[in-house]
Amino acid sequence: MGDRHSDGTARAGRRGEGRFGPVTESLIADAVRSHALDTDAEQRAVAAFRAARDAGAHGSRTRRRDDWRPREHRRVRRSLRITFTLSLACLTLGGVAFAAIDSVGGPPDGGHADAHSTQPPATTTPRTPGPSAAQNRPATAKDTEAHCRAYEKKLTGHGKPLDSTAWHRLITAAGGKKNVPAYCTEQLRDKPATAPSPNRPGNGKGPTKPEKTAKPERTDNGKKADKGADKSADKGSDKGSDGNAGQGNGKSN
Amino acid sequence: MGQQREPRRAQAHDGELGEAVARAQEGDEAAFAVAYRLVQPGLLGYLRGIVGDDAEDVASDAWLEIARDLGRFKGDGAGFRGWTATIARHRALDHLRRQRVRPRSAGLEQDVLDLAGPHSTHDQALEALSTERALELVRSLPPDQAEAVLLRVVVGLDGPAAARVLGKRPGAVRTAAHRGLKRLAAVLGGPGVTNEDPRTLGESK
Repeated sequence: MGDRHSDGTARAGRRGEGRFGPVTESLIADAVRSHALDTDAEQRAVAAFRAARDAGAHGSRTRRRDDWRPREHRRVRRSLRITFTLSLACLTLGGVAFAAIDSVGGPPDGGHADAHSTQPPATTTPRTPGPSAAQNRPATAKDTEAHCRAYEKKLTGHGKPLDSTAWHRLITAAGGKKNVPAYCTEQLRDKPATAPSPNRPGNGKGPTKPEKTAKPERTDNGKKADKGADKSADKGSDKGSDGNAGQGNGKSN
Repeated sequence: MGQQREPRRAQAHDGELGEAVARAQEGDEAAFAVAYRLVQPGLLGYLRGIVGDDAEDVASDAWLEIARDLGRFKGDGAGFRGWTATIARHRALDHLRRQRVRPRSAGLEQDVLDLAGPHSTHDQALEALSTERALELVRSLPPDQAEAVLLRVVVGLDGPAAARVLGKRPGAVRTAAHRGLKRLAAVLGGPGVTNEDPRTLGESK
């Protein structure tokens, strides 16, 4: 079929290839748009316009369907609104997620309590049975027990040296630096059942969490209490569980 | 598909049309006549595609309403085309409701299919399409495609404006116009277009 056509028509057809539109569109548009206008009809329209104008109809209010202004400004406003809504949603979801972390981990002020407990030793030195200290500190007996384990581990060669806070606490509990070995021996002899405790996550990781094994009897409070006690000696990283531990221990005292 | 290209013919006058409309809204009678002459060809072609021979009457009705409500209109030249097309369409639908005539009758469709084979139309098509044949071709399309093609190509509206006139989503109107033009291109023939036939048919079914 294409062979029969002259070059001109073939080119015209090929121009429409891929788009197929331009040729078809202009053909249709040229043909369908009427070129000869009826002047009578135009006169009637103009007469109607004149009548409406003279009757004052042209002051009528613009309805929504009469407003064909370009939508650019409206689009900009809409995109602004979308941006605002999205950012608000992000903030809301983020807040919910953050609150969820807090509610799972414990009361929001637990973290602060812990932060205080890890502060320099000056405030924690006279620690022994003080009621105020008991509020956010683990029971002293458990503490010293844990410290003793850390101390012994250090003596046997592996394990991290006690940090100053824990060390001071231990000295205070023992009643002097010299008494520490004896004190610890005595403490640990009272608790022979330490080893078989089933839920000791940090047992093998002596170097970083030496006191992990120190809470065999605290099965009701669970791991969180355990960790909380550890944090007093270690530098804690898990704020949520820490806060919980502080709270729980305060009650148990 | 080229949203800018199709209405180019109409857009060439949109600035002039916008000015004429603005002056007419201030009461300038001659400006209203200018606007009429700029809009009426496409409007009448569109109406012919919908209501056939009654297009002139429907257009007259539409212009009465346009003349009456001109003060309500807000927008530029392109907007005026859309606004007037909406009014004309409502008048046309009223007319069809009264007449209980559907925009495309089965008999007409059959005639068109007979007339509009690629062999009989091709040579003529690439020179000039007669108004009657072009209208027959357009009216042989499914109604939504015919209207989309008429609004885009004949009235010269862009996609969103055509969609607003039809009360449909722009995507649906774009698809309808695309398919309609594909069919018309297939019927009109031509080497480049004919090569596309298999894909065209496969997609449009």
